Amino acid sequence: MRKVVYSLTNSLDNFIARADGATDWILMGDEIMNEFPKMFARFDTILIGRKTYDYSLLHSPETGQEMSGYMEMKTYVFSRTMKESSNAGVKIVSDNAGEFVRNLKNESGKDIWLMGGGILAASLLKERLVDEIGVSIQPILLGSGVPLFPDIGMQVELQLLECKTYKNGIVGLNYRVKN
Amino acid sequence: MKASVFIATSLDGFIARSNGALDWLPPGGGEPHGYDEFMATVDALIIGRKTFETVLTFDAWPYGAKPVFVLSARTLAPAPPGAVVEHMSGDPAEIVSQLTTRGIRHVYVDGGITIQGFLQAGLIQRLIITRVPVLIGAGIPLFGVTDRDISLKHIATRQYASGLVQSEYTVAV
Repeated sequence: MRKVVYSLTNSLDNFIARADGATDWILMGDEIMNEFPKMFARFDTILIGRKTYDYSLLHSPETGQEMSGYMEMKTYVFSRTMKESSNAGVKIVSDNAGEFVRNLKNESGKDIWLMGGGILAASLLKERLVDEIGVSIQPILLGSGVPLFPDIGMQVELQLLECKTYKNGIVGLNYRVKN
Repeated sequence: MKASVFIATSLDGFIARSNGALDWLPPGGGEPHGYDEFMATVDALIIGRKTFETVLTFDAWPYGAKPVFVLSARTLAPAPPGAVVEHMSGDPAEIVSQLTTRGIRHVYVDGGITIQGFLQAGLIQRLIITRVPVLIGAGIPLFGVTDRDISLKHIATRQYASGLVQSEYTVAV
């Protein structure tokens, strides 16, 4: 079965963006950038909540146009209000996120990258549909912002799969969710 | 005076459940991850009233004869025999100045609200955070609202067989 992987970069105090969506505080660096192709090769599909999508690189803030096929992945945006996209690579899921993702996992294909936001991640975690969690912890405290993990109302046990540190101070951790 | 934090959090950033419970931590604090070595470097602890009350429920007083300064605007419950506990109140800068005058060189700051207050006041120099591989969903957060970004310098990250990951940071000045 395809795995759903919630993988994001976050501040040490677990925010994925400032309250206004800004990600100006995120360090990247060559060391991480060079790993991207390998990191993303396992995915062919993106799941993303509408708010996160609005702020993300998948979408141009200047024009409001969706960027076509981010790294050639099929993108599903979860929204009750968004209209169908003109971009063939972007589909809107307007309800029953859990059932949709359960079916998607049973289809053939590569793994599925859950890009957030926290609200979508929390609802999928609650339905035991997330298989792995990856965090890239930036060496900064923001003090407020968009949370990585909104209250999911239950305890989730994890198993550490990988721990990696980068020269610029980022700590990358990957966990398996014990569903 | 230097102030350090040494604390365990869930991956979602909580140091205790909302009622203070620590049942989600590995039994006995999990495999050794440097706590004793860290404790040997500190002269005293600064904790808040809630942490003090949680510690009072433990089977044994965990700090030996190390001085423990408990910050509280209210009267405290009595400390167990043998414990060296002193009640203090005031803002973090006042506390640091008083303890410095008394010759304390390295203090261990513990408890969510206390850590947050000292961080916000720019009075923490080192953070040693041990991540436990669990999400608990809700509880007392390690970090709170700050009025600015606090930049950190990553010093080292250590991984333990049970899945604990310990990262050490200094606060950039």
